[in-house]
Amino acid sequence: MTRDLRWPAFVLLAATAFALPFIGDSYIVQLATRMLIFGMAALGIDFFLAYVGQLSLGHTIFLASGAYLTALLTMAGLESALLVWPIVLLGVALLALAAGMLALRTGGLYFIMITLAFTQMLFFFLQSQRGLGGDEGFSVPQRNTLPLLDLSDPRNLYLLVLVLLLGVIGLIAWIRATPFGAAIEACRDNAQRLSAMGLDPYGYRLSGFVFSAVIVGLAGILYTNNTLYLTPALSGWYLSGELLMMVILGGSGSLLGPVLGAALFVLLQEQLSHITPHWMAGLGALLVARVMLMKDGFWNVLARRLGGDDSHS
Amino acid sequence: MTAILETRALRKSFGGLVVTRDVDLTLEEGETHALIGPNGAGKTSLVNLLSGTLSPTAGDVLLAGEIITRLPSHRRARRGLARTFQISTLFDSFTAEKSLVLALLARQGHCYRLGRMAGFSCLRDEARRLLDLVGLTGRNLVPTASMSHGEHRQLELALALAASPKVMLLDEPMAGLGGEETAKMIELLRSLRGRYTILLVEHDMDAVFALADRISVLAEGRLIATGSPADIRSNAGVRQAYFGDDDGD
Amino acid sequence: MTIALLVEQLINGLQQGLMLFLMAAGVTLVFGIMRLINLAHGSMFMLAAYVAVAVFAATDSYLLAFIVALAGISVLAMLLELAIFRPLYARGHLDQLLASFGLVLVFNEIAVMVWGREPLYLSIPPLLSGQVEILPGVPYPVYRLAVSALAIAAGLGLWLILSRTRLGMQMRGGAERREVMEAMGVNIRAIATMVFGIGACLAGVAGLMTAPIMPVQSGMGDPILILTLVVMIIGGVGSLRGALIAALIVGVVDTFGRILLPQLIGLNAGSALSNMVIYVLMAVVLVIRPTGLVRSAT
Ligand SMILES: Nc1ncnc2c1ncn2[C@@H]1O[C@H](COP(=O)(O)OP(=O)(O)OP(=O)(O)O)[C@@H](O)[C@H]1O
Ligand SMILES: [Mg+2]
Repeated sequence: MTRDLRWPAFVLLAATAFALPFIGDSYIVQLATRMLIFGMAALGIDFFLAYVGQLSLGHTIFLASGAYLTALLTMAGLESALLVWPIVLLGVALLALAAGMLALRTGGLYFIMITLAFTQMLFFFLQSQRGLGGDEGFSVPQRNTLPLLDLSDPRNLYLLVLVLLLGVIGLIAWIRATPFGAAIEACRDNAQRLSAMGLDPYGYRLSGFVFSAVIVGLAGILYTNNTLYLTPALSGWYLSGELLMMVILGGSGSLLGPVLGAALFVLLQEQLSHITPHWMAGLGALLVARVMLMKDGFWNVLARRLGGDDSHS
Repeated sequence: MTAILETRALRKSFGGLVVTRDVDLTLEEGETHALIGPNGAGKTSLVNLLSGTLSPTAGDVLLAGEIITRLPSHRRARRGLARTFQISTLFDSFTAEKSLVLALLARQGHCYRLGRMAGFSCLRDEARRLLDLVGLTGRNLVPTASMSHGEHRQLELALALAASPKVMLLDEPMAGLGGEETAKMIELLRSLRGRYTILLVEHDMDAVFALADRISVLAEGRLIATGSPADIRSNAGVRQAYFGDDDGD
Repeated sequence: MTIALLVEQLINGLQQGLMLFLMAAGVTLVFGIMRLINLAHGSMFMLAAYVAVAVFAATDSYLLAFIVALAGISVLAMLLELAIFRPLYARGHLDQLLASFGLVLVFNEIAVMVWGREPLYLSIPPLLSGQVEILPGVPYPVYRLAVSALAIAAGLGLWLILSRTRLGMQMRGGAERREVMEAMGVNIRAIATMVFGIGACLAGVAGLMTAPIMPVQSGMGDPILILTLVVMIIGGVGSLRGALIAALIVGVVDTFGRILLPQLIGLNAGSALSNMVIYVLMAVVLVIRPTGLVRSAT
């Protein structure tokens, strides 16, 4: 076996990420925060896609509900992150449990479409809330507060997001190494064999769904704290499509692929919109090209070069 | 001898096509019971009905005297019913060892555990013993997807054994194996005789007559004969089903 | 609610149902035969409307506008099939969804580049602009009746193609047993291209039906596409009969939801819920019948 360079690559990336707020200006820090938040959401979606093995177009429900719940609680006077965030995560988990119990009764295309319907449902619901600004959305007066870290400083928020993202990466890596994670992946490989062994595939799919939803919900919490402005477009199929695009740009089934894909996406979005108002066409064409011309996302291709045959890093 | 697995007037139809016709089959505890029949006779369908992969149109399945007709397959597996599949049904991305450790963990009925998989070293040892037993010595860390067809058949059997089942349903464990591999598999199954109750679906008549205590014959979904190997060999109806020209499709 | 209003809304609902069926027919045929899920179908709907507006503006002829729009959209769809979709048949739903999602983004943006962000309108042909009494005391726009007739004609046309022509038989055969058809020497690839053309043409008809009632703007096909997918799921994926039943149900339920809910539970909450009604309907159907109302042939 050749030397595995994926760990050094990971460490280098992480070090750069930690150094960023001390070398970059506030514009860069904000952009990077956005990248990391979408990276976390993409990672959550990819957990479901790659390990549970099903495609959901509905995970934006959890992004939106995480974001909106945070905003509403904050505006209701609860400011402490230590209080608000656990409540929101619990709320998202319960919502995911209910949605998952319904949606996972079906499979394949039906599952894809029912999750799509859920996210559209939430979109229309949010859009019709006049109190929340309808289509225009509304702004959130302030970020949540933490005891020792002043989140109103964008650098601190960035560092917190970075640490949480690394935590999520670590959590996924750990879950994958446990019997629970093995059962989830076994169910993706062959649900029939899993049930012939005495394990109920439904339970593992459902818990995988809830787990991935909570990750996306955490991204939603951070989204509110970063932008302080929410619109119903946080739910709905466009953003679902974009998040999946981030996943496959970087590469599904690896821990860094979705994160780097999200970073690339946000960067492109930002750069293209400076060049032309029609940047969406560019992104669309890029997406078509990625699907048609490349077998895998750029990080996965690179990771294979760096570390021998195994695509999973 | 007591009946451990039983069907009563078991029936399954897909639309107009009846694939299992009022089958009354009894497996005695500890016997190796062969199930034979021409292609498309409904053998796999019957195994699927027994394991819970399919649910019957009518009739009942009993395990150790209890009706399990409505139980999903994972609940049946927990009660000691293990099976192999005619078409290998495995975890392609797992190594043989990981598949087996999962199967061994599954004996507890759930896998909602958050220790490290690699930490269950006694299960790893047990997994390797099973791999040795089925003839996969040294293949424990090979990903399932890159194993040969013959190795898949062996792994199927190892997974069934890992459940320490009361009853094993083996759907053509020799299907697609070469001569030498078949001989080894027969040897292995012979060593399991008497330790488990086995329902063996098999086309290879040499294997069937070498292994079976009793044989049942299925034709067009109907059980047309059950008896000792000698009975079956001399049964006119069986010859008809196998060599006559009236087998429908 | 008066009887007159009831009748009028019922017809509106059925009409929306017919329009959805034309959309769903294309998606269903493509999925039934090629197992491909195509989000860019909504773009065909939109582009047909735009082309019709543009050609009408240039020539002042409805007939020419309609013919150019339908022909153009069919050709475009067949080109897309050859260039983009053909290699995707063997891929998973994810690749299909994302590539066609990419196309949606591209087409929406092209519409903005060519026609701008401001909505365009196609006026109702003067011949069809009046009202008739469909029941005593119930006036109804002629245009809407004509549109329903057009939709029914398109539906019948599809039915004739499927049941009476060689191509139709081969299409149905392809949906049910592909291998057999291929073994018989039927050129499935050519049929796939045709199916895309036919599907897009139906979507084009739906777009033309809608153009005079709805502002023509970038992205107008997207909500319709989502509704179409809902129809397909409620009906049972791959079944045309299911799509027809579901389309009519969705059309009527959606129309009445928009009218009744704001009246029943107040304007705000009502209009919020009315957008969600069909999704709730879909969730309920799937809970009761996880594979839709009608089981498809395969
Ligand atoms: N899901 C299904 N839907 C419709 N027909 C089915 C289904 N499964 C099996 N059949 C039909 O039931 C009949 C019995 O099939 P089965 O696989 O049980 O036969 P078998 O005895 O195992 O055959 P073989 O020896 O080839 O394995 C066949 O005609 C098959 O086509
Ligand atoms: Mg069989």
